[in-house]
Amino acid sequence: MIDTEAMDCNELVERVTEYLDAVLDDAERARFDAHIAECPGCEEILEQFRSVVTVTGALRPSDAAALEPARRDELLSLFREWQANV
Amino acid sequence: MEPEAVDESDLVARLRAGDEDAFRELIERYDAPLRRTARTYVATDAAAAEVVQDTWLGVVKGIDRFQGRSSLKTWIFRILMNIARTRGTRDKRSIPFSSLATEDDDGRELTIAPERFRGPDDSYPGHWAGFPTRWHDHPEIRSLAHETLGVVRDALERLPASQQEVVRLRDLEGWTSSEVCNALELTETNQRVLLHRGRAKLRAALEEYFETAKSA
Repeated sequence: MIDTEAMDCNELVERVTEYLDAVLDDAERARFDAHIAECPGCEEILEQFRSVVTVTGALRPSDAAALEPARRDELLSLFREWQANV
Repeated sequence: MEPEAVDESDLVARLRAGDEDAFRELIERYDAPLRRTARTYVATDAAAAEVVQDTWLGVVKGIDRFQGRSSLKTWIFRILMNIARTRGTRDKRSIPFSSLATEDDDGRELTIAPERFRGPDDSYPGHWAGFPTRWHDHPEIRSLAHETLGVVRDALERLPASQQEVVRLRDLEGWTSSEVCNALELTETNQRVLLHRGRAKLRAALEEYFETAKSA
C-alpha cells in the first residue's frame, strides 16, 4: 500500500515540475518514485505534465520559416542608419 | 554549453566593430523567437515587430556595455523584456483565466481542485477521490493533432504574463532553467513555481478538452 506518511497525492501533484527538473533531494525523489509506482492517478498526472511539455514544444514554428527576407532587409537597413549615427 | 555560445565572443567583437554580417547572424538567430516572445505582451504581430526593432536598437547601442556575465542570448532577451513589459501594459488587456485556476483558502494556486482529493476525515486523506481520466497517451496527443495544439495555444495566450513568459521560454523555445532565470531575472524557485502553475493550467485545459469536447 502507498506510504501515506510520505507524500500524499495532493502534495505530489504540486511537485511534478520539481521532479521533472530533477531538483528534488534524494529522499523526496525516492518518495515520489515510490508513490507513482503504486498510484495510477498520480502516475497519469505526471505523464500528463510530460504531454503538456511535448505539445507546448510542438507549438514552436520550424526555424526554416524564421526570418522573412523583407524583415531582414528592413533591419539591415536600420542597422546601417544606426551605424551612421554612432 | 549551448552550441550558440561557442562563437559568441567573436560575434560580440564583430558587432562592436559595426560588422553588418555579425548583425545579420544575430537577427537570423533571434528575431523570430524575439517576436514570438514579444507577443506575450502586445496584442498584434505588428506591435511585436516594433518592440523587437527597438530591442535591436538597444542591442546595437548597448553592445559596448555587454560584459559576458550572461550569454548574449539571455542579455538580448532581457532588453526585450524591459521594452515589452513597459509597452505591453499600455497595449494588451489581459484576459482572466478564472475557469482553469484553482486556489486554496490562502489564495495559493493549486494544480488540481482540492475537492478531487479525499478530505481530512477520510481514511486516506489527500488521496484521489476518483482517479483522473487517462489521456496522456491519447492518439491526438501522440500525433500532436491540430486541435490539441490549438487547445494549448489558446490556453497559453490566456496565462498571466509572468507564467506565460516562463512557459514560453522553457517549453516552447526549449531554454534551460538557468537561461530563463537569467533573462527574466528570477530565482530558480520562483521560476519553477511560475512554470508549474502555467503548466498546470495548460494541463487543465487539455483535461477539459478530452473530458468534455471529446465525449460530447
